[in-house]
Amino acid sequence: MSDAPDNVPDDSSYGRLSAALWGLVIFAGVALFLWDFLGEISSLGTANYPLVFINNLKLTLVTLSILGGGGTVVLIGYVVYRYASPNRDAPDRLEPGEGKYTLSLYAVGLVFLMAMTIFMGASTLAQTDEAHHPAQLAGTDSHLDVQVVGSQWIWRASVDGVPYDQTEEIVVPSKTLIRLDITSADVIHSFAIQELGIKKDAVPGQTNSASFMVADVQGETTISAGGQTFSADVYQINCAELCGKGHSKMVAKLYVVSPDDYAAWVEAKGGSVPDSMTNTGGS
Amino acid sequence: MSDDTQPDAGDVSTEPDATAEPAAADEGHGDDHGNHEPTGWRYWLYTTNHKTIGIIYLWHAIFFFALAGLSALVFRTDLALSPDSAILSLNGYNALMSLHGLTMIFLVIPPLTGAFQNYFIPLMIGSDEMAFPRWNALGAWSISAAGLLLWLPLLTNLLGLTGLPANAGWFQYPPLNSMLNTSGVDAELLAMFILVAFGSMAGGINFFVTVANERRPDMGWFDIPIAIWGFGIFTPVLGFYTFPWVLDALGMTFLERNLDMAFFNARIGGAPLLYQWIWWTFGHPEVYILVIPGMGIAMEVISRFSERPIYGYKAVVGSMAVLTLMSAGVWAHHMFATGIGASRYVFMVFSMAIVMAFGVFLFAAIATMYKGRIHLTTPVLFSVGTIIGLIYSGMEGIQLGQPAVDLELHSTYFVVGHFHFTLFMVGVSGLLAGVYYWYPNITGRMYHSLAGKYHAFSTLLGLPMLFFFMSKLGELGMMRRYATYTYDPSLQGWHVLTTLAAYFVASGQLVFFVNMLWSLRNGEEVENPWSELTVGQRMPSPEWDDFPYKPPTPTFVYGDAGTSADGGAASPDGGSPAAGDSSQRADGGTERQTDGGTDRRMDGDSDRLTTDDSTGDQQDGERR
Repeated sequence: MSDAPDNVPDDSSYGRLSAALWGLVIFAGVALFLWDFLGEISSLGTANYPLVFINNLKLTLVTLSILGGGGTVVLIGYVVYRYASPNRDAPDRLEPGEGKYTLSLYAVGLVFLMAMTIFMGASTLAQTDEAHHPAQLAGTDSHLDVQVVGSQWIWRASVDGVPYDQTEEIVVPSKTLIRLDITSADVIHSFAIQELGIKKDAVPGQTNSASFMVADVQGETTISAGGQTFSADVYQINCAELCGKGHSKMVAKLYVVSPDDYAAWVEAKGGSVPDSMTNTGGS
Repeated sequence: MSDDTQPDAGDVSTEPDATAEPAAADEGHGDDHGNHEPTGWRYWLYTTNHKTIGIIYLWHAIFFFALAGLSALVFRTDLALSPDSAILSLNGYNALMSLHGLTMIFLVIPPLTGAFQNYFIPLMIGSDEMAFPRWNALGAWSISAAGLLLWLPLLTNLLGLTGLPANAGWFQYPPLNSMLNTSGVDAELLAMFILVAFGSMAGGINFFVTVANERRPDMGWFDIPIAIWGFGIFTPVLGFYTFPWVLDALGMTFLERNLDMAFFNARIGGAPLLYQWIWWTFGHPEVYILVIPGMGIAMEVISRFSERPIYGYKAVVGSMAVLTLMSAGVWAHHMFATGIGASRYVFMVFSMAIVMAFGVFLFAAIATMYKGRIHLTTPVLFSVGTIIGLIYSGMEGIQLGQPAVDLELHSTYFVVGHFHFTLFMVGVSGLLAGVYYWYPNITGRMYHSLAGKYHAFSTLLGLPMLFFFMSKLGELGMMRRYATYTYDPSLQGWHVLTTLAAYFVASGQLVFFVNMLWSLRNGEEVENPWSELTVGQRMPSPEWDDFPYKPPTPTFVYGDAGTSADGGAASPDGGSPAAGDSSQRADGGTERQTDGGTDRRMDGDSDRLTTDDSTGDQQDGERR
């Protein structure tokens, strides 16, 4: 029924043009994800723990996505244009069993790739997210314990050696493994520092652990205490689990200063640096 | 509605006789019982006709699609206007966002699937009615009940009568949800309970029993159309396993809220994570309940509009079976941040392995199109969108399935982008392909073609824009379910872009709504606009061309059985545009007698005739 309304464009010269247009629409999606995913890759260089491990895995996954997924979408765009009805007189027959070797090869390749991501994922997970790893894994000898309590809608961080709870601004040293114990006083929250690859739910009645280390301080900003000024990096702390009205306001800033500056800062605040930061070789 | 007032009540003859001549092609089901049909509103309210119920499902789905889409536009606009609250209060944002999610997941995609399940399962398997017609009617009206319970609190809240509607997100974790002091949450829990118990669960049993028991006797399991495998078999079967879990979760939350029974609230002795284990045991398979129908429809459409049989019909069925099975084993990847221990390794392995099944499905879809002759009509464009949506969703999904990477991206807009790809670009797109493909079958009229094309254009181009912008926002640190982003106002530019993309997508959906309504009266009257592609390609489909039917696999379509299948059925009422000897295999072989020489491809079939002759005749004899 060649005069079916939806078939009209197929047999006119406009048909070829529309086939090309639909191919372009599909390619536009490819351009969008390339822009998106390449952006992800370009931000991968870091020495911070655990991102230093996670980013290796992420690079693999993103590359795999771009080549495999993106390649497939490009193929679909090509097929949609090339085999659109205006460009074809008749379809080729599909023989029984046609392409079964290609399918087998494809399946074997897919199994191989998936196995690779599984092994990489498992080893990365073992390196990054087991509670209270020895600090050496992160490349440091010292650590600092921080107790985080979430409640509607504020974060409270009790840092070992600091005489008061920090809320909107939390200061920690670099080159030190920061070991977080996270819990909640009311509903479920989630302690998130996305730039450092940290996210852990604060669940009432349960304590979850996470740890991170910032390798270097670039000096984006400064903090001051007791008349002194220290150069610091600032990271965003968010709540990442819907916790009611003030969810989007449950934010804080993490300031990271060098270990020496941190010692000076703690003293200015009337506290003292805990042994875990000065003891070498301990964990 | 009681039995006294219902003219159809009590007749056993609605129980279809599987051996009877299928009356499916005729309008109405009242052939075998002489009761007078009620008219007016009673006709709709009392109906047990699967077609009428399908249409009730369809309008519910389209209405809620518009409503939930509109609410999304409101809070997207709110996000774009200012980093702080512009239109909505903080909790108002949470409420609207929750209603959007709950409606789309429970009141749009399942009813839209249900429209096809009701309307086309009997037509495509050759039964004249559903197995449980009155149960079926109850399912249809449970959507109204749930929609009313879910959305009424918004109205009463705007009038200042009650507190807010549900505002804890679609997965509504306790203890927050147990502690929210508003009747809207209870209404929402009841709404979901009613919908899942009477609509999804009872409906699913009905659909599956119909497919399993009411098929024409000559239709074997592997003769079932691929779309029916999707929404008639795997979707309900997965539901049997998952819906009890969500009923547990909803019911326990309701009891905890109202009777202080301690299940999930740690303060009174409950376990917060218990809810998440129960919820996601439902919640992840639910995603597959939402996408498998669309995938099945997309495969059906792609095959017919590429003029090629389905590549590897059994492999596709197998991949969908594996998807169904494996989807029930990956749920804890939603909980990687909750402090669960070594089980993360197991769920990571399953989450990666499920890619295999998708891979086979994708391969089959592309191999069907490859070297075909693709008619770029609206249904096929949405089907291609479905396939591409699977890829985009998977590309982001493999990052989220890795616990280590997930901790960075979890609960950000990256996840929002990912699951919108899954639900909208796979689930909804596939169903929209079905709406366009079957619109002429349901209404007897053609939709406006150019309007359909614009809808496809704005969806195919707009969705990747919208969802990749969302993913970008997530990578830049925008957290999910944030009413404001005063902590980083520099995100506003991206929010503006995302909102513009959302309006672009919405413009297409608006055209879709108008098109559906306008074409009801003004569309060209057609019987089967695709006859060139079904009967003409020797791939008849029962809902258009009646029985006998075999799925379009190479051995069948090119074999002898294929010719006889469409012999007695509706014949193509127009010549094929490319009629002639354009086939590259035109070797002047044996002509098929039934097609009247109009089909260009018959010329090339002689090489198969010799091998398939005997078996084809035999099958044919059995079928008749």
